[in-house]
Amino acid sequence: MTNAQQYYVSIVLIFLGAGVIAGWGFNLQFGYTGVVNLSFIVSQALGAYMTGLLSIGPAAADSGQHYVFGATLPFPLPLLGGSLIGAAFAGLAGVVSVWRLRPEYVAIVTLVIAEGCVELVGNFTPLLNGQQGIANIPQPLVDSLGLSGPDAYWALAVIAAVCALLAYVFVRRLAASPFGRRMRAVRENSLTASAVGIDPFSTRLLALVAGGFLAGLSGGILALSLGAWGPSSWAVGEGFAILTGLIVGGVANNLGAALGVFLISTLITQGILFLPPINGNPNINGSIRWIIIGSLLLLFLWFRPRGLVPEPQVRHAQLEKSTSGKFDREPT
Amino acid sequence: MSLFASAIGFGLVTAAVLTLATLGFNLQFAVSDVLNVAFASLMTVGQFMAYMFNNRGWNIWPSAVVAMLVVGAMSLVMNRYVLEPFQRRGTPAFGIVLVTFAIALIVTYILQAAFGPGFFTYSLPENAGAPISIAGLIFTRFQLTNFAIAAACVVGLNLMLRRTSLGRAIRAVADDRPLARGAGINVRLVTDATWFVSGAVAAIAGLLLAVSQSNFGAVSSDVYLILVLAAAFVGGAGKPYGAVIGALVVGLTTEVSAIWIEPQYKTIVAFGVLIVVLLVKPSGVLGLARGEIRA
Repeated sequence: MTNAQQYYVSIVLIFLGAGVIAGWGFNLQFGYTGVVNLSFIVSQALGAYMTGLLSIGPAAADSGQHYVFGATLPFPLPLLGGSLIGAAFAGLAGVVSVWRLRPEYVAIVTLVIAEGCVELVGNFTPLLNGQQGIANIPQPLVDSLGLSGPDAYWALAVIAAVCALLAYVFVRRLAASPFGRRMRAVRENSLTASAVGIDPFSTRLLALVAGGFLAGLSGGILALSLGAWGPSSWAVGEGFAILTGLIVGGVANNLGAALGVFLISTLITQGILFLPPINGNPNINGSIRWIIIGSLLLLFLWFRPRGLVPEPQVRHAQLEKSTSGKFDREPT
Repeated sequence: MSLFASAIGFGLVTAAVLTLATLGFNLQFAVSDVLNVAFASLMTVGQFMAYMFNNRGWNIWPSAVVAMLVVGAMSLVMNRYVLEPFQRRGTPAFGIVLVTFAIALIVTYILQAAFGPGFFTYSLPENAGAPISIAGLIFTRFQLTNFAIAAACVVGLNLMLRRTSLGRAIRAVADDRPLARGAGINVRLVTDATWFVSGAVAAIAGLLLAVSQSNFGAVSSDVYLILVLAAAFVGGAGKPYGAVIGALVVGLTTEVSAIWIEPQYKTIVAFGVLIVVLLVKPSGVLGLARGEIRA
């Protein structure tokens, strides 16, 4: 491969890894627990900012950048910081929205929260450098491993793959755990769930926090690979790309979520870049992307609301077999 | 004249347009239980529809009437042939929100693909920008016209809801659909009429917004949707009078706050107001009783 091809392929792979992690995070919130958190994208963005700030160091007076703080932590720590801020924001958004509102109200209120955050970060320059965003985020491991050129991106692709693997183990175990059953119980019927002693609020909140953690992680990977992060990187609509990926791939199915993210974020988003120019209008590709995503969302909600890879139906016998002797044993 | 009074004056102009938009949004929600995120797209369609005629040399007034009719019909069709089939097959309420969002994406970006990403301006009558002084405050003529149109529409809608048989039928369907059907109200017709009216209202609100912001584009009303949603939730979603209170609260706070903080934070102030209201009284000022809104 030529260098240019190596850059392209490695970056697409990094984006896919980050997208899949985000898809799984969103799946914990929306797929398993039924919380339509449209401020998900803000968790991702804050994770990206935090990872950037923890890598870049304090703002130098001559850099022309303004932001609240900065540090230069060794490699995995910035990503961890990004994940934690993503989780914290999701928890905060949850306290405001899922505390006492119905699911469709949660969708609207989190949408307002997301737009409010976009406006705040974009206009309040001292916080995160406003519309300019922060730039010159150093790539991790470049100095310590002596990487250069496309190798630095391949290293990031490996990091993204490892993170995706860990995230997959995490969501799988969480979904199979007693907490996973609590999440599904709250999604199916929160009244019944509370009647058997499951607290819907804390369950939703925990699912939001866990999903926000993965969102922050995916944002961190994106920021490290882009080397910059600003409001143009996280329009509220991007949350809908992830959501459409989930609905197309399969709600509450982690393989389906990965498939959906691959279809939407990789195939369609990259595919439209290869369209021939239309009417000399260079901006039309972005519009076509959103028209396709909106149409797919509509078509799947109508024809295949459970997605390409539906959630496996848990049978009672299976449930007993998988849990007997493992969980929930009565104390004697 | 003090800064405060002028902020109140401009706040009232802002609030009038916001009241109208919120009223349209609330009407749909009250009758069909749909939180229609595509409402902002209906406003945008109205803006472009009027622009197409205005740009061909029509006066703004007849262009506005055409936009109203087209957007009203579009809103009716959207509910009847897209949203209602989804509701009939049991798509949950948050699924319907996603459907309206998908419609919003498709409509917005078809407009952007057709008209391009730029900004557009209406050609208004020549004296539209003329200053008029009222109680020491200087308004432009179109600001006052905007206020007058919005206020007239709000009063007209209120009279329609309270005095006409259609209005009574709309309120009956909003309160209890099966009971209204049992009482012999033509629910089909009332629902269609509501969506038509609220679509037409969206078109007017979109035009007033475009005139007061002096330009518009395919995505410029998206942020305004946040103000509409904030006003609707502050007042109590689905309540006609809640729309007035919510829009006054949101409109006045955003304008008055601009005295102390910079005007680009207006939307953030609206969002702050919404969060405070949600934490204190999540059902809105005129909202449902506490139990009804709980998950």
